[in-house]
Amino acid sequence: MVLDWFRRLSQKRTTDWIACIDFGTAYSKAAMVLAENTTDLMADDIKPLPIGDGESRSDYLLPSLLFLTDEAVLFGKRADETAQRNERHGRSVFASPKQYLSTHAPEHLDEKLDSEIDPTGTYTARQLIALYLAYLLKRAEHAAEEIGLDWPPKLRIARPAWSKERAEWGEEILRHLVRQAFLLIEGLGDDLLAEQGVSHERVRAVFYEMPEPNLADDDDLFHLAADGTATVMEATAVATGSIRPTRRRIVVVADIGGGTSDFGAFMTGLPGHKVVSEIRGSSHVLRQAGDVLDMHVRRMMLSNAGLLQDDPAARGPAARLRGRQRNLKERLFQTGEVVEEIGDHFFSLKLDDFLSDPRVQDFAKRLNETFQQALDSAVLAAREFPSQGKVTIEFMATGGGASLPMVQDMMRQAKTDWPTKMVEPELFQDANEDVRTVYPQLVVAIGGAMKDLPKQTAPLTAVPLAS
Amino acid sequence: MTTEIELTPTERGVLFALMATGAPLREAADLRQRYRLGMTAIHRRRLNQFGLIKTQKSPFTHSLSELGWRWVEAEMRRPDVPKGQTGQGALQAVIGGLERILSDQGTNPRAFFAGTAPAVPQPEISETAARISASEREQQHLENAAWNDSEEALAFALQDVPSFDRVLARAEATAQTPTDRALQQVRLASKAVFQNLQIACAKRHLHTAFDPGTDAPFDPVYFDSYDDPDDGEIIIVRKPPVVKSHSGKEFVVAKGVAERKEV
Repeated sequence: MVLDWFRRLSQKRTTDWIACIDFGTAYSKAAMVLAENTTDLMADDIKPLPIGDGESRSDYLLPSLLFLTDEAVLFGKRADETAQRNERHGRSVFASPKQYLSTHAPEHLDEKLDSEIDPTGTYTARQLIALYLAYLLKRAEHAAEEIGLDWPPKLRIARPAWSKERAEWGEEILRHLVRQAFLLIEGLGDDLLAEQGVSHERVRAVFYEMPEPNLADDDDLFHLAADGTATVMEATAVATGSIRPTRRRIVVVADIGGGTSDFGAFMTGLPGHKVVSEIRGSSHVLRQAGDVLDMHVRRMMLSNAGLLQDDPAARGPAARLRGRQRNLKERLFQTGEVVEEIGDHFFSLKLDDFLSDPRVQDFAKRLNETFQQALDSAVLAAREFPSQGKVTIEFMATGGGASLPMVQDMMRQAKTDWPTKMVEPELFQDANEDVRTVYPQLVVAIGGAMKDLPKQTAPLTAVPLAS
Repeated sequence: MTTEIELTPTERGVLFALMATGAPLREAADLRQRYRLGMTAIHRRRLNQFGLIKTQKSPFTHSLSELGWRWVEAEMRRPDVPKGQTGQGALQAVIGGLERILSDQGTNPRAFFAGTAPAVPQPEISETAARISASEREQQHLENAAWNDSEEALAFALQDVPSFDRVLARAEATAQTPTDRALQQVRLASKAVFQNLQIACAKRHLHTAFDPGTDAPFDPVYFDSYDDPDDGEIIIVRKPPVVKSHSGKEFVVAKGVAERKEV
């Protein structure tokens, strides 16, 4: 039987739903949302896809990594465990495709990878990202079918805030990678989901035989935004999933993740105009976020235990604290003190001591400065787009770091004479408790799959505040 | 073949566990801890000598050999119960019943347990029933994900119970009187808290994989260690790893702490 390489690529796609893929740093997520106006959506119209079922402890989180043994390419849980067993022997996992696209020069994408990652010396980063994407899309296909949804719908891909040049390059690369991924799924089929991974021999044969992916129109494959892009910025996706356009509103969104803090200001239409716009020039990113605080919790706990981070004796305890850092931070911020066993004794760290640490304060300062830049754009917009009465600027924190004390302080102590208030992300009121618990970690994938993505406002000009 | 090789209940249990999972099993984490089969080096050697299993080291992991598969298939058809082996009658009844069903379906037991047997045609279900089933699965995924963070906190707490016991034992050892009433009350009060913690963990399928103070093969998936043991090296468990059974797989929620044995 002749393999129809283009079957999935040229397949008729359902227009009832839109899917978005969120390449997370540690985990990837995917969601499908009914292609309706945002204000008409009900909780049941939003379907996170259980792509992580059996591969991680949370059914919605798929580890963003793959591991190459001498014989095969491994994915998911197997890749994670094999990596843990091999990292002491000088081997590395290929982790976080998003980080790769964010931090490496475009020309590196087609270079051979280090032998720590690829002992065969045959793969490029582009090929591994395409393989990971194929695996992710194959799992999404299974997950959608399992919960009774038609697959494939048109796709969107969430991306971090990149510079203009990187965003243009990234858009092109991601579209090409998605096309390659669909071809790889045809070539590798269910082998992509095999427990033992896919042999290099088979992967190489498929890459060799695979035609150039040039059949389907982008318009058929992706749900393109008004500006013709298939990628959606993470902060924009968060705003789409969290702001209800009920009246004229201006909302500054702070999406505090693990590796980056993304800021953006958004404006909704006047009553009767159910649109959300992104205020031009308001998007800013700080390449520091919750992970920095994890590092400082670890540093201070080790110090309290009388250990120096660079001392060989601290290597074991540091690794152990790293494995628990999210929990440590949560306990510190929620209860005001964290107690942990290091070696044979228990040690504690108090929240007041943590917050008064100079390096923690330095992070808080950078956070404030970046937030202030987004706020300045919001104030400009508030002056330029008048409403009935003076519109209050709203501050909304999302992401895993939303409840951090410095994030709350950042919003409370914002420097502006414009009226402001803090608001919570607007979740679906009819959603049950489980949905509301799970929603925050999936908000990028969910918001990115909503039909009505914000358009950019016209350029803003500084106008004097009317007295 | 069944009469040619007579095995102990543990050895029979190991072979049936390997058959039932259709996949390789680790000696310590799976066969000993999960299935409570007291497999020792003697059993390992015998099963290898008979050619019934294939074994890999670091950690010891076993799978059924071709001969092993033929042995379990023959045992499934065995009409009698092995003599002098308490509890084997029930097992024999179950596998005998299973063999009859698979035989009626024309399904090979090996393919069945490996999950590669062709699906048995099912009666068609109505569209409504399919939708309800999809909705139930969706709800199940949601509940599992919603529990994720709480389970991590439960696992860390469960893992710290032995540490508390150790610290308390130290305090008891230095107490003024061996029956210090205040310390007795601390122990009882902690027991009240920990018992409920253990029940909550069990309800979320969380359990410790090894007991503190026991020996286990070192595996970096299960343990952190401060003194770099080799893979598969027998270490002492200082803090037990906590694992969760989910979707037919085992996930390490909280890694344990291992210590090298003094040479």
